Amino acid sequence: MTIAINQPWGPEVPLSRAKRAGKLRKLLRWWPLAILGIAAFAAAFPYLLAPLNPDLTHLNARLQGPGFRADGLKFLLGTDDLGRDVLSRVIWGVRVSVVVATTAVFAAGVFGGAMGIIAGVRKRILGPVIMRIADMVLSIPFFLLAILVVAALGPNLRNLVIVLALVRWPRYARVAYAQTLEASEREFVRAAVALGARQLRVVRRHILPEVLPALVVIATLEVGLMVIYEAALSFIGLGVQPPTPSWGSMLSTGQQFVASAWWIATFPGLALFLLVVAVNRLGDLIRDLLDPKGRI
Amino acid sequence: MVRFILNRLAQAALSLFGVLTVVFFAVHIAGDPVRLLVPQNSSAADIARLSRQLGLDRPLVDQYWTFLVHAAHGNFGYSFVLDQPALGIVLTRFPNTVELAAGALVFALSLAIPIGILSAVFRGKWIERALMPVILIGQSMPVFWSGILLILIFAVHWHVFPSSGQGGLRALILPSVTLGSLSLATIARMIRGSFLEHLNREYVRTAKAKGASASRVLLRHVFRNAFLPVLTVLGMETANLLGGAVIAEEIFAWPGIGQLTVQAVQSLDFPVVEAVVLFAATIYILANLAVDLLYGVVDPRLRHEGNQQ
Repeated sequence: MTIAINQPWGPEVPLSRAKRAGKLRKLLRWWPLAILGIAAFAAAFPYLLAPLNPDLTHLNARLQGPGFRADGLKFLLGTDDLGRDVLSRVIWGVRVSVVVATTAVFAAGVFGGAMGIIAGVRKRILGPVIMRIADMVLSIPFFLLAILVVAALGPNLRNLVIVLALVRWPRYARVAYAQTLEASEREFVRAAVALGARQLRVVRRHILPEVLPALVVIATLEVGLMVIYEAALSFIGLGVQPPTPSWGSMLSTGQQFVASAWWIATFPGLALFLLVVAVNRLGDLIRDLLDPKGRI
Repeated sequence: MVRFILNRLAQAALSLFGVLTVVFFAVHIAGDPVRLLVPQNSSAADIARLSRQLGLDRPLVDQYWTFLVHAAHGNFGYSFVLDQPALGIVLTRFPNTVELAAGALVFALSLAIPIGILSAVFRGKWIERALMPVILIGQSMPVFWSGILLILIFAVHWHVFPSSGQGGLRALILPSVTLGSLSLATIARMIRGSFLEHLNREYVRTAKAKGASASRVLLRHVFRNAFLPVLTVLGMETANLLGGAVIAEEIFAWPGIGQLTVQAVQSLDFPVVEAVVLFAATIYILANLAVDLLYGVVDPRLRHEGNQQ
């Protein structure tokens, strides 16, 4: 039904059906939530979804294509070079992506947000110092910085989160800083200050609620990036270490066998792509909701 | 304007100093390279001698100072692995990175400009609806997956392009497409946004009212104004690409500085790591600086504003 129902001169359409179609279309806009729901479920309960043990090697079933059967087991998406089930590893791999991305975004958001608000409130010395440091971090190519720091601290889950937070906090700091400055000029904040409210109270009661939506928008747009960076660092061997299944390291194996076993790289890549598309699209939707004027 | 330039230069210098410091300390908590260099069963005396030779036994502050002085002279010492000057190795690799970056930019721009403009002009029409997914996909496609897929299809399956290495235009195509697709999405988005903002402006209406053709309005009036903010993004993208396309170079075994970074980090080759990261950061900072300064040239309004201050 693509008839222009809003125009009074348009052909008559049963309103209920048109309304229902509109509602359905509105609902369908939130398709990313479905993908993210599946991802969250897989991250929480991978053992419920994965058909086989992701770390178990089947040496008589190495590099077998999708649908291969051996020992009464079925490898739906094939096996890797050690005979491990690709499907099960893809499912378990969600865990690393989701955990690293969300904690890194949370850490960077809280730290960067706090720094930005402090910089916006303490305008004399501390503020400019913080913002200069933020500018400096932003002016370093941050994938190189991340490689360097991971290499220095040693590759593991915790350090991965630290590194990603360390290179991304300035983005939140800048937004929080701008929003704090803007909010400080608003009348209700000035009134609170004039009434003698202490700074901490002003920040907590009046400034924070103004800053938070902007931080949420940035955070949702950053999650996809963090998923990609986690996978990229794992891809060059600086992420989560084997045998823990991670999409990045699976892609790296897949690249070695690209000529003989296409499925090893294709499926984790597809999962990664779907997750990132869903996160980015959801980020756009949330931005439209929280920031209709596109100020951030 | 002069004040603005000086301010920007000071900021760039400060950034460089920051990078130097971060690089030095990150590299020195990374581990002891001497243990990797000597044979497994060498004596403690041998290890001590080699560390003295490389200057790794001196106090950290002392080493930091020497490092700063040497870095200012472009001297990062000899590669532990290749026994050549570290900066020299980086410089021999850099032209390859430039070649790849140029390829990626040409690919990205040649598609981003039409996609961006068309999706802005035909907003809400099927053209926009067909083009927006291209942007979303380009933005979400991880380089290391699209690279592998391209190899799979064009190198393994159809044998059209070589799967890795450098050599001629044919070898450049797959890496450029892989690397350029993210820039393509970013630039197209920016162009679309900027065009949308300008299409409703009064000068556009005036131009149309005067009877200017649609293409003239778009290319002569809107394009000039709307392309300005795109320039910033373009500069950042260039800086990013030149700063070493680590993943793309790794996938296609492209001998640029990105691949060098990974190799150096994996073999704990400190001098090369320091040299390559600093070199990339310098390029990145300078490219961003150049864009900011270029702005004053392209947009006379900014120059004027600066004079008034």
